This record gives sequence, structure tokens and C-alpha cells, in this order.
Amino acid sequence: MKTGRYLALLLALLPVTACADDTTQGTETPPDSLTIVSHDSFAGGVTDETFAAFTAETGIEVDVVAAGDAGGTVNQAILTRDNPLGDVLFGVDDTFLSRALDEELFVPYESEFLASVDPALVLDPDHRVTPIDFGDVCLNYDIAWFEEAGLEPPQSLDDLVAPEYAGLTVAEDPASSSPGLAFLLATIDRYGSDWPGYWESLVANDVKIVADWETAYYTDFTRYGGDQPVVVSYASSPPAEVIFAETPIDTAPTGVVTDGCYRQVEFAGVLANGEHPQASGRLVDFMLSPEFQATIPTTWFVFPANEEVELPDVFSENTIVPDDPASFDPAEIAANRDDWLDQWRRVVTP
Amino acid sequence: MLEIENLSVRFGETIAVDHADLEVGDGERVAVLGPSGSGKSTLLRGVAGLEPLVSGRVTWDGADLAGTPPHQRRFGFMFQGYALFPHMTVGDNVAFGLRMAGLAPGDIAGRVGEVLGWMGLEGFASRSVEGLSGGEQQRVALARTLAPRPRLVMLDEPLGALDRALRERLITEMTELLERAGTTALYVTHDHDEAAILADRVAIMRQGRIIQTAPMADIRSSPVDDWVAAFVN
Amino acid sequence: MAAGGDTLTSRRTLWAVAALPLLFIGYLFVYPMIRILWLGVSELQLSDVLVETRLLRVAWFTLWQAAVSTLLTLVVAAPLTWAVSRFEFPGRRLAQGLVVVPFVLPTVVVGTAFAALGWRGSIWAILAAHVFYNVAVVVRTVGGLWARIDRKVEEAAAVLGAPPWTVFRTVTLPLLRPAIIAAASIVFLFTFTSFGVILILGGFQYATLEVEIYRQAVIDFDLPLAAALALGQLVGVSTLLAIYSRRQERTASALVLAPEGSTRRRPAGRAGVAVTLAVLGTLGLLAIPPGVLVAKALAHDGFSRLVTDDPVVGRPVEAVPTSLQFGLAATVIAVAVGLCAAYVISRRRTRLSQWFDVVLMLPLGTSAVTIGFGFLIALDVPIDLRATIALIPLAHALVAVPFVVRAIVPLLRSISPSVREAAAMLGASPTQVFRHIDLPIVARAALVGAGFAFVVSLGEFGATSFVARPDTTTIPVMIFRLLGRPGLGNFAAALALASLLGAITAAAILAIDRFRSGDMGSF
Repeated sequence: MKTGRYLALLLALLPVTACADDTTQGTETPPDSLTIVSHDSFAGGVTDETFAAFTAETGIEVDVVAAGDAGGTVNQAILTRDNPLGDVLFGVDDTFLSRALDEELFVPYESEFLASVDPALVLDPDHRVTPIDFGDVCLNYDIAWFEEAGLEPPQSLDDLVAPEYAGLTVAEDPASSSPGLAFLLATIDRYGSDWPGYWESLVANDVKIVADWETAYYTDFTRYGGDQPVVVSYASSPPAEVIFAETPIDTAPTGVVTDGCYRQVEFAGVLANGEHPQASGRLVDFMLSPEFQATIPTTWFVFPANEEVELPDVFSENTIVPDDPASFDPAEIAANRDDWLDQWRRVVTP
Repeated sequence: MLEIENLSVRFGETIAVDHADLEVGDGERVAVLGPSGSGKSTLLRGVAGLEPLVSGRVTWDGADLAGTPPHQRRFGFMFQGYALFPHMTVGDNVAFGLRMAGLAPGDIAGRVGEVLGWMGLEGFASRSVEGLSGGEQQRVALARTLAPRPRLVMLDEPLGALDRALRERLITEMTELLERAGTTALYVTHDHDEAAILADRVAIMRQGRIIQTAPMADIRSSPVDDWVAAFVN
Repeated sequence: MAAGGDTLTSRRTLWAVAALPLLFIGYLFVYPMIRILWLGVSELQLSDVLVETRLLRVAWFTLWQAAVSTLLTLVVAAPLTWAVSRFEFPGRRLAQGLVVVPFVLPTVVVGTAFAALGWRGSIWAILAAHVFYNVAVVVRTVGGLWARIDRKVEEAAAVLGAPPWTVFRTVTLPLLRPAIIAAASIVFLFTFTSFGVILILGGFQYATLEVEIYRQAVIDFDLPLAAALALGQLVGVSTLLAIYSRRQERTASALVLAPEGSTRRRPAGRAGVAVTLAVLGTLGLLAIPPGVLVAKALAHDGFSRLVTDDPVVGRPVEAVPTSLQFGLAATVIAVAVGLCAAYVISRRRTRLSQWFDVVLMLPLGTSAVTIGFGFLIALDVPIDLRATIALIPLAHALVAVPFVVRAIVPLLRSISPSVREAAAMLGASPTQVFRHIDLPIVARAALVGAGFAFVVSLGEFGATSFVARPDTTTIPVMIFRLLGRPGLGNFAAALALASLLGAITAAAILAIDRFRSGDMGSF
């Protein structure tokens, strides 16, 4: 009978509607696939296994598209807001969060796993974005170089301007590099309104500035044949050095300076004009679930937002998660970034 | 039989051919003789369909050729400078018209050999056209033009680029060839001796107009004006 | 219907053939550019731009570094060009092929090599890198024409009493001018829109318009300013191209050409020494940075890592088939579009065809960021191309088409109209004329253009990163991904992959060169 068939259809839709939360309304037909729009670093780490568990559970395939590099992720989402490239945007970080929220890119979604996340990471109380991971930008140093030089590695930002560390540091241009910007923010957080003075001292102490992280790390860092044994990089770099070593090693050849770190939080959000907001919410949930979060460190070399996930040994043995890194309110960054960059450029340009 | 009636052709800004009338009977060889700039090449191109007509018409056996594009007129045309296909061998050049006509490969090969034989170019079939002497190029061009048995052959100063001795030898050869093949020919030249040797009749052209058409002997004995008299002697 | 001279081709045919390239450039370039520029410029406050005096300095720097780079490239490339076009010697073809290798190497990797040699962080490094990358353009473009200039012309001058240098200056150089201008324009376009070289080899304190546009569009998201800069860049480039196009028109037909290969001699005596020096010296210099890469890759066992399964990126070497497939697709598209475009451009000397020529070259001189953003906002109608795989070869072809056109047009123009008319009189319809006359003559030139399209696609990074998916990892993208994480293994694998890219490129060019001969004005 017809009624029976309609009832069956309704029942089939129930699981979807049962998972609907307060913030999304109505029912939607589950899609065959969802698309995550992100940046290249994320897309580069995605394999067939990455979302296999999600597909097994929901029957929804996950496609990943990267349109631009990390800096352009938010911008390309803004440009395509009316007809987005996908359903979920992943990769907006705190330095660009304000811009993303102002452009109303997302619909709110409150994940069930938020309880396991450090409240300090939940930068949007309205849950338009959900924190997925965070990376700490910290100074790294070449252990072997300092041993040979008979010098103690730097322990703090103040050390960098001390005479014995002259010409040993390489940092990135904050106008074109994300870790470069993070480091600048860390110094602004530490030195407050006197931060230009700090940078003047850095410049006087022969700090080297390059355009991006790849150049700083792979060309200027002494570990790769360069001249600077101290580089602005990530807390996750030493474990990566172990994992991707040329020949197997036990301990990392590089160390992390825990003073002067900056915490960059990365968020995911359900795109406002996507066609499947409910299913997208489930995908965001999955990305915050312990199952997915456990793969984060060794795939993308950032730290999982979900505190229930333990870091793999190679991480806990070779680096530390700084417990008091610098961070800024996204709105403050948005308001001041241009001025800060201008000022920085004036100090640093000879 | 070719009939040119009241033909006018523009070349750039000027009227290069001005109301020309001419007939060429089957098997006849007619030379269009005149100084450079007289419009004789343009006349030829107009007949071939390579230039649009301002007025008048070209008919073959009574049929107006106005709607027929050049590649369908079955007229042979031998260009000044020969226009050989630089990327093909001698044999391929000569075979081209036969290929376009859809002949079988065996027949094509046979005809090519035959025509090359007429020209004294045996064994040249597989040679590249680059590196041929002026005389050899001229003969290949003629072979190519004659091979598909066109119903009319038009020759635009074909000997112009050659030296005197060669010209004299070739004009006789060409006359024999055309006579033997029985081809209807329209031949453009500025050299009255060539015209005298090759043509049955000569049309004198001056500043776009055909001013006298008759066998050369008649023109020489009774030129229509002093200018013609001076020109043909 | 009567047809005349060059008008064997009717207007209708011309427009029919023009349809493909018009659609291509219109949809993939003109339309997105209009959209993105309008988006920016419509909100532009002119005062914002003018206040930024810094931008004037940036514009000036962009201009003069490109001009100097171009000049230096011409000078540095001259000896090798002379040697490979005038002389026959063992290894000549190899030399012509190897010179292309620098062209495909990603900047990030070249930066490493330069740094190892101590060459970084100065304007000289920028200029040196530009020369390194672009020597190939000059050698192959100018060399192609030089090899066909009949020695008799020079000998005539010598017999009349001109010493060798005067012959070169007064006879050879003017004859070479179309190719020199063509090569110089391309090198100028590349160096004008240089990005990676400026930032990585020059250092953060150098900025060109391209770098500024990137900063404004991507970091600051000041679209109005970025759009204004992009527009300025476009206007500058268009003007240059228009001038270049006019010059080509005037000089194309006045050449005295001999068949390719017929003018080469074996070098004797002092010439032999000069040739050896030119070839070995230039190639030796060009080989240093790739040599450094290979050495470093070997030192860290990079080549074996290419086939080792990395849990995240998989086997790096698997980027090779991806690159090759995209390369093939891009080449086919570029040749099809380029052939049609060349046909239209060469047939009639109208304003339309000149303008067409300029527009086709514009993508080379346009900011990659702008093109990418243009794609994002424009290419979702009628079908959503934006995140599809198809966009990659299309984007590659966009940059490659000008080269295919450059290779084919001079040759098409050199076909005398009477040759086509002769074919018509022998019974060939317009299509048959194209098939039997034009096509075989330009086939080899088209092959040369195809070779370059392939090389461009192999080394392309910007467009590909705009449509990156896990399954579209080309070699440059893979290199960039490897270098995106710390670790000696990644470093070694990236260098090894870059070396492999260079080797593949050389092999491809050498293979294509086997088939080519008899062309001028080609890459």
C-alpha cells in the first residue's frame, strides 16, 4: 500500500533527522558525497583511509579540494561564497578568523566533541567554526651545531638579541608567511607596545629574514646546509625530523624553544550556501572525533584539538606542547594587522 | 572553347582589366602580350577565378563559370615563380592534381612517369624540389600543370625567370609539348618573340585593354597603331 | 563564388576556424579577468592607490629588473645560440635539448642549489636566476631562425669588404631581428611576472608587481588594490605586446631563408675553439645548479625514497605519470587551439588578427594569482569547472598556446599565396588546401610548439595549486608537498624528484627534436 511505502521512506530518513541538532532545521536527503574545501597542506595528506571510517558509518564519500595555499583558503571561500566549491571549509586559522566570520561564510554547528576541547581554542562562542587542530609556531634549534659550537641553545626570546647569538636566527616575512606572522604576533604579545624595539635589536643582532618557511628551513637552517642554527618553525618539527629521517634515528636532531611560541588554531566550518548542512555537520563531528584526531599528528604535524587523544610516542619524546603559548583575539589581529606589518617592515628594511 | 566577354577586374584601386573580350578555341594557343603593368596576369587570374570580376563573364563551352570556384574549373595554371610545393617531392608535386581528381594510385604513378618522360625528367620523381635548377623547376611546374589533362592551360610568364638561352630552348620545347597534347592554352608574356613562336593568335594588351587580336604575322604587317607597331618589332 | 589571392579562404571559413581559440581564450581568460578585475576596481578608491608611493617603486623595480634580465639573457645566450645554429658538431642536438632543463625546475628547488653556491639574497642572484631559466628561450627561438639565414647573404657583404663584426652588425643582426624581438618579448614577460625567483632568490626585501598582487590579494585580501595592480600590469604588458606584434608584421616577409640544416658547417680552426668554449662554457654554467641538486639528492639517498611508500604522500614517483598525463592533455589542447589561432592570424593582416595575437599572449603576462581568483569566481557557469581535473590541462594550455602560435605563424606566413592557389587550380578545395599544403608544412613547427607546451605543463605550479586534489599531484606539487614538512628524507626525495623532472624534460625535448627541422621563429 502506498502509505506503507511513504512510511518506509520517512523511517529511512529518521537516522539523519535524529542526528540533527538545535542549530539545523528540517530534514535533508543524505548526499552521496561531501566536499571539503581546504588548502594544499591538508589535501596533500588525504589518502583513501582518511575518511574511510566516516564513509563506512554514513555511506557518504568525502572529496577534498584545495583551491590555493593556506593564505588563500579564506579568500577563495569569500570569493565563492554564493556558489561554494564544497560543503565544509577546513583550514581557516585564528589570524584570518575575523575576516571569515565577518563575511558570514558559515552556518553554526555545535559539535558533540566540543566537551573534549580546551575552551581556550573555542574562539567563536557562536560555533560558526569548530577547532580541529592547533599548531605551535616555535623557534627550533640545531642540537648538533650548538654542541659543536660549545654554546647553550637559546631558551627565550631575550636570548636572541644577546651578543653570543648574533646572526644565528632566521625568521620569515610575516607579510607572506603564516609562521612568520605567528612569530611576529608572539613578540608583540611578549613585548607589548615596545615590540618594535625588540625587532630593532633583532635586526642589530643580524637576524635573517626570508620569504617563506620552506626557504628558511631547507635553505637557511644549518641542518640543511645553511648558516642559521635557529629557525622559526613548529613545535612539531622535531618529531617530523625523526619520522622522515634519512636513516632511522631515535631522538630528534632539533629542539624546541618553548618561550616565544604562538598557538595557531585551525578551524572547520559548514559553508553557508552548501547543499547539505546537516551531513556537513556530521563530517565536522567526525573530524573532531578521537578516531580522526588520532591521525592528525603524524599526517599533518599539528596537534589535535581533542584532548582525549594521546600524542604518539615520537611526539611526546621529541617535543613538548607549550603550556603558555601566545595567542591573540582574532578581532584584534584583524584590526591591527596592517599597521603591525607596516611598522615591522619599516623597522626591518635597511 | 573559352569565351571572355566584357571582362573587368580590379586590382587594388585601379581597373587592371578593362572590358576585355577574347575567345580561345579548342586546341588553340593564344598569347596575351603586353608590357608589365598592362593587366595581362590579372586577366589570367580573373579567368582562373582567383580574382573577383567587376563586370563581364567567363564561359566555357557556353556555360557561365560565375558560380564555379577555382578548384572546380579544371583549368591548369602555371605560375610565375612556379609555386612548387616545397614539402613534396617532384613526383608528389606532379601527382597532386591527379590525387585531387581521385585517380587510383596505379594510374597516378603511370601518368606521372609519362609526363616526367615528356619533360626529360626521368628519374626525378623521388627528388626533393629544393635544390632544383631554374630550368628543372620550370619543367616540373609544367609537368604538374599538364598531368591532370586540364581542359585549358594558363601560363603566366612561365619563362620570365630564366636566362635567354634557356628561354629560347624551352619555348620551342613547350610549343611542341602543347601541340602534341592538343591542349588549349592561354599564355601571358611580355616577350614578342616567345609569343610569335608559341601562339596561333596574339592578343595585344595595353593598360588593361585588349587592342588587337590576330596571328602575330598579321599584327606585324598591319598593327592597329604606332604603339603596337613599335611593341611587336 | 570567385576568390582572390589570399582570399581563397572565405570569411566564413575564417570565423569558423577562429571559433575554437576565441572560445578558449574568451572563456578561460578574458571573462574571468573581467569579472575579477571589475570586482576589485569597482570598489577602488583611486586615492588609496596613489597614496602608496611604495607601489611606484615596486612598479619601477619590476620594469627595470625585467629589462635588465632580458638584456643579460640575450647576451649570455648569444654564444651558445651562435654555436648551435651555425655549426654542426657532435652533441649539437644534445646541447639544444639540455638547455631547456632549467626551465622546468621549481624555484624552491633552484633556490636551494643557488644557496649552496652562496648565490642568494641579492639583485645579482635574481638576475642570474632569470638568465638561468630563460637562456633556452633565446637559444631555441633565435637559433631556429639563425640556422636558416643563407650564408650567401653574409658572404656577399664580406666580399664587398665588410669585416666579420660589421657583417654581423649590418647584415645578420637585422635579419635576426624578428626572432630576437620574439625571444626578448617572451623573456620579458616571464621576468616581469616573476614571483618565486624574486622572493626566494632575491629575498623578502625585493618586491615586484606580482609579489605585491599576491600580498594584497592573498594575505591582505585588499581586492581593490590587487585588482588595480593587476590591471596596471595588464596594461603595461598589452602595450608591449602590441608594439611587438606590429614589428613582427613588418619584418616577417622580408627574409632570405635557406632550408634548415643547409647552412651549418663543421667548425674549423679558431672557430672550433670558439664553438667549444661557447657550448661547454654555457652548458657548464647552466649545469651547475641542477648538478648541485643531483649531488645533494644522491648524498641523502633521495632516489630510493622516490619509490618508497610514504604513509602520507604515497610514492613520490607516482607524481610522474600524473604529470605526463596532464602534459599530454595540455599539449593536445594547446596545439589544437594554437593551430586554429595561427591559421586565423596568418591569413589576413587585419586589425582583428593582430589584436587576437596580443590577447593570446596576455596570460603569460598576467598575475597567476589573478588568473586563479578569476577562475574561482567565473568558471561556475555553464558547468562548474572550478574544482575539476579538467581545469589543470586547460590552465596549462592557456600559458602554452602562445608558444604554439609563435612556432606556427611565421611558417604559415612564409607559404607564398601562389602555392595555395596552385593547389586550388589543381583541384584542391579550401579544406584540401589546408590539409595537403598548410598542415604538412607546419606539422613540424606544430611539433616544436607541442614540445614547448609539454615542457610548460611539466613545470607548471601556480594553476595546479589552485585546483589541487589528492589525485592531481603533479611533480611540482609533489615537490612542494615534500618540502612542506621537515625531515632529511623529504628533502632528499624532493631534490631527487626535481632531478627526475629535469631528466624527463630533456628526454621529451630530445625526442621531439628528432622529428623537427625546417622551422623558424620557433621555441
